[in-house]
Amino acid sequence: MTVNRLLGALVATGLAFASSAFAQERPTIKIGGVLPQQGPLADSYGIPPMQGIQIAIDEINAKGGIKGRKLKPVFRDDRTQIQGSVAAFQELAKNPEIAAIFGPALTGAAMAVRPIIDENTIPQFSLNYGIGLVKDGFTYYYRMSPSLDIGNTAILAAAQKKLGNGQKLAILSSTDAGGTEGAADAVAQAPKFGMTVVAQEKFQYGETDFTAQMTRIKASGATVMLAITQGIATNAAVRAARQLGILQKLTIIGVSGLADAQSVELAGNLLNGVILWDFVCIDDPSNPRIPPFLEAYKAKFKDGRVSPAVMNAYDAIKIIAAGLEKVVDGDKPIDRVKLNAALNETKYQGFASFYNFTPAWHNGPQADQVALCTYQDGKRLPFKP
Amino acid sequence: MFDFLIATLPQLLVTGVMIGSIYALVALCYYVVHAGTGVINFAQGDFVVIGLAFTWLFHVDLGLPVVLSIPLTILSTLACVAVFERLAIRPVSDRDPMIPLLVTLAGGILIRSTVQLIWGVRPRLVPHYSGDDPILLLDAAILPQTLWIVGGTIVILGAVYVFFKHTLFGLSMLGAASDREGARVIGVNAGMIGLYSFGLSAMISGAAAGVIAPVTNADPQLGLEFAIKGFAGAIIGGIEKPYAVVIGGLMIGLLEALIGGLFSSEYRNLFVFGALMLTLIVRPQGLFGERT
Amino acid sequence: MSARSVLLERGIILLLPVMLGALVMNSAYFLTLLTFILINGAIAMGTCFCMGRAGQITLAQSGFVAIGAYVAMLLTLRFGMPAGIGVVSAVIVSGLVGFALSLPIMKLKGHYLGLVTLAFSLVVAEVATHWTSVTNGASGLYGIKMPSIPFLELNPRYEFLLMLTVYWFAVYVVADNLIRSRYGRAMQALKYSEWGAQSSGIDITRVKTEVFAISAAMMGGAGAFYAYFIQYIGPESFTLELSITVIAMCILGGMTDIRGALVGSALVSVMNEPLRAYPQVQPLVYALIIIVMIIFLPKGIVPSLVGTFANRRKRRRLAGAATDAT
Repeated sequence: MTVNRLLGALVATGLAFASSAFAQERPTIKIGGVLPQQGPLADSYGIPPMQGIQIAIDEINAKGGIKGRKLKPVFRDDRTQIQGSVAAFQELAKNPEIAAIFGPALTGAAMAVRPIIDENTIPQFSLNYGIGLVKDGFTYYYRMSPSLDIGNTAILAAAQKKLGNGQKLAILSSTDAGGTEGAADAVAQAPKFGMTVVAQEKFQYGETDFTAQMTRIKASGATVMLAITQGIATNAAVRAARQLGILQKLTIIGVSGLADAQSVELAGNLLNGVILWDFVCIDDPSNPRIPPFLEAYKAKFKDGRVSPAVMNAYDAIKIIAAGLEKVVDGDKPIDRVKLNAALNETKYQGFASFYNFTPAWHNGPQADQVALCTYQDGKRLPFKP
Repeated sequence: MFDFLIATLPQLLVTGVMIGSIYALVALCYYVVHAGTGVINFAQGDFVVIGLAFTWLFHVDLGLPVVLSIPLTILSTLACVAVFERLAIRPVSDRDPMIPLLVTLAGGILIRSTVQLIWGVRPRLVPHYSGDDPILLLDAAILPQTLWIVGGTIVILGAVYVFFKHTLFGLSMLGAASDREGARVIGVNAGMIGLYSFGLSAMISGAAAGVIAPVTNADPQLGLEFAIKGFAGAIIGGIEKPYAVVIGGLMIGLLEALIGGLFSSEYRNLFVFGALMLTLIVRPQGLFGERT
Repeated sequence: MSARSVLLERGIILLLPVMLGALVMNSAYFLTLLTFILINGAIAMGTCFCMGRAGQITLAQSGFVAIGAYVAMLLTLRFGMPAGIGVVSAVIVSGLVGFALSLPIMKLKGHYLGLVTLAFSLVVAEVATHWTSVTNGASGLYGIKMPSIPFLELNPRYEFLLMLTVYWFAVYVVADNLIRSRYGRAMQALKYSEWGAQSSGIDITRVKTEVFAISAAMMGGAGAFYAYFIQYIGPESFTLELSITVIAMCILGGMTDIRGALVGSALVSVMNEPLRAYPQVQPLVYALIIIVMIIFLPKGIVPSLVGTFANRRKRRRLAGAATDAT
């Protein structure tokens, strides 16, 4: 009899442990990520954001998640193609366990998926800088990057402050949506900063020989070149400029892709002196948030290269998590509309920019919050004109 | 515009000759495979990518000097392509030529994906063999690597010429090219001809990759671009004659450089593809070919 | 085949998407998948019609699909035309372009023909990128609403699927009828021997250009539906990869039988989905399929199946006849 009672007690205790263990297994909150893992943008705007998302989610989960519920990323590769993005967004947006989606990398793809996120009322965060993305409404779309027109304002102003009026501007941009709009906007803004546009050159993603474009830029007598480039294109541009002997004569200004990790790897110190706007100046010695982040990054991704896109994606997840904290309700799936309302009250200090989202503003940081950096001998430091 | 032309022509010519040499080598590979087997090999660009990957491996990763890394690249590319030919091409080589063409198209994708799986999608830097300080000559800035490319092209062309005219293998390949049925009748082993043709094109691709890697970077995603431009060169020149394809490749390179320099680089591809289409419609045998 | 069995078969084919769609009506994901299967199926049917039945190689899929898509998108976006007009115009314009293209390239054979169509697709992509005043260049065109059937109040995606099914079925019937008719026999003769066909009095010029034009028209209509479905098109939507994917569908399903296009498009579209989670492997698998199929099952699935059944029937008949005789 005593044995039976002992057994019964053991079984009861066992069941109690088991049920409490099950009780702690609360439903995860999923965050979608549609990013290129292949294609020309994979290395600059595909894999780094994935890493940033992972770091942020792991950090949040380590602290107990969102009121006890863990976050989980769901990644899809769109291969830098629009059809891939659309299909991926269709799939993720229809999944009620997914609270928000990060991505895609191509501006064209971001435009194509707008009807999907509107229809499914799901918040979307991306690093696209294409101007058109907020032109026709942006209820559920949030931009983490400075919009290209705001970036242009910041960088053109910086160039004017450094070099004075009367500069001759050459613009180098890609043929895709983001590049074309950015170039057109720069043309429109240039006179405001005392510059005349003397050359506009285009390239297609993947091109590696820019001697033709540089030959024309050289012949135009430009003194400043606005390079809306990334990785491969940046490298090709500066090498061609060097080959033609104009690298030292041109002040090169541009977007974050002017000194992204891939550009640095391929072009190295040829980039010395370039001025760019970025999500954060990654080697800024005066920014206390960077060193611990770098440590966390190295611990997780030993072979990876930190780039600002990593940090920007991290910021995005933190913002989403803040919104989730406000609307999470027991174990129920997240109410996306409520989440969106919470996100519309975002006040978040990112690595370098302060994000203040309101129903009227989803367009990334304001112009005075845009980080201006310069590249010198392996380091991206804050730029002071 | 005329002044602009005079001022920039030397530079544009230098660029054109450099790119043209790359396309000429790829075009030559098309000739070699087509001559031996009648197949248009759309995996050609990806053979060069294999070569680029090996170049990086031997020269950058293992740190071997150029005199070692280039021959090793050639042999490694040859090995990979031989496997590909035996597994994928040989079984379909006796069918309607469109079938092997589709197989090579798919094969190119296969090779590209495998390289990317093993190696990653990132283009990797291969340092210039003789530094990257440009040499100034008549208003044009010439990279030392350009000399490597042009020189390498000449050496490769010479080697292929000697092979075709002065070795038994080469002569029987030329014979097989001008009359495939007849060659089979007199006992030239049709199965091996396929292997030799692909093998030769692999060696050319490996050698080409060896000299162009510093300029294009070891980039696994370049395969399709090389394939189409080299193919355009081969067709526009005339795929039946070895010297014609080389000239065709050079012309494509020069056309690209001149269009890019004089008008806008936007329209480079449009002109090249348009010229390709026009040639195929109006004069499919190419500029130097004979009507069949 | 008897007329009744043809009718039965067609009825089944028509009902399949309608029923499947109704089954999955609550899952936008599956409805989307089904829609892509039908769009790809129409393009594949055009390809099989041209390549498999008439022996005219074509890599022009992405070109004609692009033309159809842009025509439909522009008509609806800039001129407010309803989708019906968009689709019909897309079909007509693509057909005309196909006809115009085929005239100068008639004399080409084998892989030269395929290569011209390849160059054509490349040129179309370039034009789409650079003719910014019309196509908005790389930014692409967007801003239209998915069309719906006016009097029905069903799930909008399902309504779109129904409209698409009508087109898809129409393509099937047209292709199948042509193949079964005297015209189809002319196509077959053309495929096996141009000289032979010509010497038996067939006007091969006419047949070649018409076949090419019809296949172009089919693809153009599919392009229009694509535009209405995704509601965004740009030059990046129509790459060489599209042409290769469609050819993979035909090779897999079977090029000589128009139902092969249906099977192939379904299989490849479905196969794509689990692969989406393993993106590095995706193109690898496609390519392997093409190569393996070409080597081991060159006729494709449907003709091979049909072949084995036909053989079995024949054998049984012969065996029956043999036993009768004894």
